[in-house]
Amino acid sequence: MTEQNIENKDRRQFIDTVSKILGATASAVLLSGASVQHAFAFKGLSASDQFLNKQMLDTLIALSDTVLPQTSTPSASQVGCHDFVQSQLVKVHGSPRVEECKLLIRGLDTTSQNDHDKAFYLLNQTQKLALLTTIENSPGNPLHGSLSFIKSLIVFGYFTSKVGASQVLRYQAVPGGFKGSIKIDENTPGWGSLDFY
Amino acid sequence: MTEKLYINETKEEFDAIVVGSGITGGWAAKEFCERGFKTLMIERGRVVEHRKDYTHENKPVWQLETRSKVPNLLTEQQHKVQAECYAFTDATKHFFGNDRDLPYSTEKDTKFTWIRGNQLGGKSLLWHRQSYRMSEFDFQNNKLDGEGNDWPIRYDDLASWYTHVEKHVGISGEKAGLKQLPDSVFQPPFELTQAEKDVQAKLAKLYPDRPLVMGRTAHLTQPTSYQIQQGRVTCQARNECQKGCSFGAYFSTQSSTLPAAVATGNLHIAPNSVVESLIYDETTKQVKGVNVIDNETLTTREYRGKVVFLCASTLGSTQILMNTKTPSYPNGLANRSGVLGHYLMDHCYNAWSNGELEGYDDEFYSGRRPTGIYIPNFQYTPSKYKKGYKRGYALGGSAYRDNWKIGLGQKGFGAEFKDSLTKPGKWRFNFYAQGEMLPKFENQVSLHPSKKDKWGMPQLHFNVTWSDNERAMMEDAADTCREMLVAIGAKNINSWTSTDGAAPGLAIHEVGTARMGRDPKDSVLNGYNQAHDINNLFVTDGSAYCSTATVNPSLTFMAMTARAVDYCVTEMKNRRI
Repeated sequence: MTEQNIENKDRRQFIDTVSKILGATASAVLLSGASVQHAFAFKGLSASDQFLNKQMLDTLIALSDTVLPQTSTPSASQVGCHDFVQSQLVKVHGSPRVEECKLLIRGLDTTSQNDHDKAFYLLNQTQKLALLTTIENSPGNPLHGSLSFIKSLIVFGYFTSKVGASQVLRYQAVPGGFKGSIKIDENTPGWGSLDFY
Repeated sequence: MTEKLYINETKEEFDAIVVGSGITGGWAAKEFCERGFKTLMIERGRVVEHRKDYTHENKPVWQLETRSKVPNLLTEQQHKVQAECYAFTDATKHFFGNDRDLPYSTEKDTKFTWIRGNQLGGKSLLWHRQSYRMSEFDFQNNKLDGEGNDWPIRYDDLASWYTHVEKHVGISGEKAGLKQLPDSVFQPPFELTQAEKDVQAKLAKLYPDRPLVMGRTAHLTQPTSYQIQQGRVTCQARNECQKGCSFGAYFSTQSSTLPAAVATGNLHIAPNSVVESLIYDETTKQVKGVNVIDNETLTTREYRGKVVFLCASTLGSTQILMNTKTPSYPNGLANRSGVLGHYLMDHCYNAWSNGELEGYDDEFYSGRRPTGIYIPNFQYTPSKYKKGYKRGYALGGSAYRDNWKIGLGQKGFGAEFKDSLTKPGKWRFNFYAQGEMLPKFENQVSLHPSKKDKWGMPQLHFNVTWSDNERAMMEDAADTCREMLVAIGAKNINSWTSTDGAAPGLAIHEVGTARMGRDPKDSVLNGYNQAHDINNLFVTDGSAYCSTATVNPSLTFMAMTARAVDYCVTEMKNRRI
C-alpha cells in the first residue's frame, strides 16, 4: 500500500465513521471545517534548511538503519527517518541540538576511520553494531549522550511515520470503543495509535 | 447558531450576566436560559465553534509537522507554563493560553503553575473529564478536624443537583454503593482489562477498605435520546479529547450546555470581552453589570444585567472581585471578611508507583480508554487518618502493556531491538495519588501592586506552597502504593514522590480564594454561592470551595452552579433580589 493510499484510507475511515454515527448533516459541517482540510497537508524540511552534506547524510542513514534495520518491515531510512531527524532538529530542538548531531556524525566517522580505516557508512553491519554498542555501553564516551538522543529521534520518527504507525504497528484512527480483553499471539503487533505522543 | 447570538455593543439590560463560558459558565447560561431569562454569556477569548474549529482532530501523528512536539523556542517564548500540562502538544496548544500575553508573578522561592484556556468553552475543551460526587464526609471534615471553615452546605443539599447535572452530562461508571464515593446517575462503565479485573479481586481480599472501581468519566457510553438529539453520540475511544470531539462524546460547553442554551433563543454571547471589573451601585448595594476591555482592540464597554454570575474560573473570578474597588469595598468587592484571595488550594498529585505484572502474554486491549481505575480515599474521616498528617488521597492508575516508546531510552540496536519494540511489551500496573491540600490562610493570590497585563489589569501574584501535611501524605502514599503492588504480586516496583518538582496549580484543580461560609466575617459567599453583602452577585466556580476533598471538582462545580441559579431565580421571582 502506498503512503497516499494509507492517507486516503484513514481519511475515508474517519469520514465514514462520522457520517455513519452523526448523519450526513453533521458530517458535512465537520468536513467543511478546518480539521480535515488541514489533516493531509504535511510539509517536510525545505532544502535550504538541510544541514548535512552528502557524506554526513550517508552516515545518518547508516546510523538509522543500524538502529532499526530492514527486516520483514522497512528500515528506518526507508520510511525517511534521516529526513525526519533533520527536520525535527531544526524545527523543534534548535541549533545546539543540530550541532550535537553534526558532532555525533563526525565522531562516528572519526571513530570508524581510526578503528577500520573507512567511513562509518562503509562498515559492514557487524562492525557498525559493535561500534555503536561500545559507545552506548560507555557513559564516559564523548559521543554517548548524543548517540542516545539521536537514536531516540530515530525510534520516535520511525514509529510515528505512516508506515511505522500503520503498517509495522497497527493504527486505529477511530477505534469505535474500548475492549478490555482481546486475545493475541506472539506475532501480533502493538498499537501505533497512542493517547499522547 | 443564529446571527444575533454573538454581540458586541449593546444597551440592553439582561436578566442575567454570566462571566465565563467554561464548565460553570455553560451551566449557568443553560439554567438561566431554560428558565426564560435573557442571558449574556461573556467570554474573554475567541469563539470556538463545535466541530468546525477542532482543527487538529483526527489528524494522524504523521500528519503533524513536528509529530505533536512543540518547538522548543516557541515553548520557551510563549508556552513555558502551559507546556507543563500533560495534554499540551502541538495538536492542542491552540486551546491553551499564550503565556506571553498572560503573565503572573510568584513570591520568591515559590512556584504556581497556572494553566489557562481562554476561548469559548474555556477549559471544558481541555479537562480530564473525571467526574465524582463529593461525599457527606468531604463536607464535614473541615468542622471535624478544624482545618478551614465549616462548609455551609452538606451532601444532602447537593445530591439532587448532582442528579440533575449528571442526567444531562452523561457520566460513565458503575454503581459501587460506597458512602465515601456516592454513586452518580451512570451510563455503562468502560471495561476493565483482564489484568485490572484480577488486581481488583486481589485488592478486595487484601484491602477491603480500598475498593477498585472503573474511573467515572463524562463520556457517553449509552447516550440518551436527548443527548443524541443534541448531536452527541457514543465515545469512540480515541482519547484525543483535548483536540475537540466532533462526536460530542465527552461533555464540554460546546457539545452540551451551549446548544441547550442556544436552543431557548434566550442566549447572547459577547466574545473577546475581558471583564475588568464589576459595576457596583453604592446606593442599592447591588451590582449593575460589568466593565469590559475588548480582547483585541483594547477599547472599553459595559454590559448591564439584573444579576451577575462570576464563572470565570477560580482565579479569574477572584481577580475580577479584587480589581473591583469601591468606597464600601476598598479591598475588593464582597471582601468585607478579608479572606478574598486566601485559602487557595489544588490537588497534590505527587506520589507514584508502578510494577510489572507477570503473565497475560496473550491478553491485550483495543481502543484508547479515556479513563483508568480509581480507588477512592480510604482515609475519608478523622478516625481513619494516619499518624503524621490529616486527610487522605484517592488513587488512580491502570494496567497497560509497554509500547514502542520504551525504545526511546532502552539500550540496543538492530533487528532484535526493533522486534522488541514492535510487539506489545510487558504488562505493568501503575498508581498515582490524588491528595487533598489543606486550606491555609497563607496560601494566597493577590493583585500585584505595579505589574499589569496587556489589558491594563493588575497581574495576579501567587504565594502558595505545599505544607508539611501534603509532603507527609505523599511520602505515605508512595509507600502505601508500593506495599499494595507487592501484595498483588507485582515485580520490579518503583515508587517515588514529586512534591518538590510539581508545584501547586498543575493538577488544574485550583479552588478556594472566595470561599463559602456560614459567617460573613470569615467568608465571601453564603451557602448558595451568593455574596454575603451583595444579593445579586454569585460566584459558582471553584473559588467558592472551602476544602478540596480528594475527588475531581468539576462535577461539583456544575451541581453548585445549577443549584445557585435555581435559588437566584426563586429569589428574583419573590423580589428578594
